[in-house]
Amino acid sequence: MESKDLEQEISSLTAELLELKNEYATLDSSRFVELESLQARFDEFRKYSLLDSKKRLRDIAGRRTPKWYVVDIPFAYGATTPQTSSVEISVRPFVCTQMQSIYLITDEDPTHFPKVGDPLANSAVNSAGRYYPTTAYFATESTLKHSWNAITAMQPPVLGTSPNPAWHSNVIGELFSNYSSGGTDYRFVGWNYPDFDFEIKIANSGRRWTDDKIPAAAFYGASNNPLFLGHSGFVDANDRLEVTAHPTARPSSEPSINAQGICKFVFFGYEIDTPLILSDVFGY
Amino acid sequence: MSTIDSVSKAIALKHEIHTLVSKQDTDFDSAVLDLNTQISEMAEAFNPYVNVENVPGARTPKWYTLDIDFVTGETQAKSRAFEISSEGAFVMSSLQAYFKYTSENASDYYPDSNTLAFGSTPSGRYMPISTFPLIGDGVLQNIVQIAGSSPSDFTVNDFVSQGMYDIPEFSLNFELESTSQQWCDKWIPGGLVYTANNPLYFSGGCYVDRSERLIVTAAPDIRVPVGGTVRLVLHGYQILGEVTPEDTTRI
Repeated sequence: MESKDLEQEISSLTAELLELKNEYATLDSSRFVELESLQARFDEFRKYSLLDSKKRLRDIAGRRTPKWYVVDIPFAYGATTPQTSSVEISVRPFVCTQMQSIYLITDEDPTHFPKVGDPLANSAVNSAGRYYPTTAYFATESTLKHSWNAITAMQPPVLGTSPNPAWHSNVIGELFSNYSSGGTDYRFVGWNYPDFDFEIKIANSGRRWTDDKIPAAAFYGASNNPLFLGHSGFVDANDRLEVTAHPTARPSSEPSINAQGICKFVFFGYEIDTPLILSDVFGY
Repeated sequence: MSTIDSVSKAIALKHEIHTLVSKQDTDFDSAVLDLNTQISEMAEAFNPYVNVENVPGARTPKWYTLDIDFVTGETQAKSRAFEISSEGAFVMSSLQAYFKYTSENASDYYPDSNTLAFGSTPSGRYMPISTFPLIGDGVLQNIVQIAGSSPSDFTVNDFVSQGMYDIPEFSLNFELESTSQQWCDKWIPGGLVYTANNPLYFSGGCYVDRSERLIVTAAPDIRVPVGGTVRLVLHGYQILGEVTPEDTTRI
């Protein structure tokens, strides 16, 4: 090849190489733009999808097993002050779906109950081992709806010999009252029912589930249903559920708790077999 | 420009293109690899079987019952176990608890037959395992008059005396035999298993695996007033098939 031809060939090759470089740069730039766009779409998808993030309890893997936790809060006869008790969660986090409370009577002194029989006398037995609700609310409601309505509907009304406990004068004040007459102390049917307000706290995290004292009636239980939680509450492994029970019934100059017993606050739900700390997973 | 210069320039350009291609391919490969890693991590994190509803297999409604017999006057706790069939895992929806009288001895019922001379007995009748559903939701009652923990106070002139005495008072405890996992931290009052108007509902997709045994213990809170059977009814559905939640998933 002539020298001139050689130079021309080299020049042509150089021009082609330059063109190739420019084309490659353009192609590479668009490749990266496409890649960045793909990454952006992926990030957006991940941000709003449930696939890569645990946003709900149902996203946590691990076998579920039903679980009850019972916080026992004992009250002596005549107690007036609030009592606090707690229960420690196992090595598995607990998800609470339902709550209810119940009052186990442990009082073995028959004189703490209303008198029975005609003429009235202290009962020869007690009711230790039986259960009261933690509020008279539902029974009072039933009395007003069914018992009193039935009595009112009957003509003539059913009367007893006052103050026979089978007799009602259809006034709310009497249901929970006591009085003395002729040297005898009379108590009416609502006398022994406790009434509580509750506070619930997750001990270690300091989270409070209640902002103030919540009436026992709001947790149902006595009405053949528990309280179903609108949003399941979780408590991490080894944390503690703490409940404070405040007696609210205060008959004048009489004790608030008229039957010794154990207030049992019952949390029901399930535990998850997982080593995860749920408050870390969910960020709260 | 000399020929040599031209050749040198072309060679330099070739190196430049090589470097460019090499570097940019490395960057591109790295970016693609990073994206692939993220997708793989996401796929790893996504467990389609995390919920029991996603476990494959035909579902069929299922009831299991468990009877724990007691005789009049017993005070000791007794245990028996639900035995889940080998058909597949059983997912629980609800639980009910009843007490079925079995005593055909009229004198076992309060007050004894000498007082009221019962001609027959309530044997075969169902009652709650606790007075709580009746006391909690019924009208206000003097509990020591209608539900004592031992029989007394009966007078024929007052027919409501100890009217609920023959209703027992049981607490319950549950344990998965295979793992010795307790379902309760303390005894659960039978009155909170409801039954009078509603069952106790489970949630969260809790299950008992195929052939697994769920031990239930019933403990009398008062002496058993009349002989009978604590009858538990566990309702839910069975997932038929080889696949169970435990062995195919991380549930």
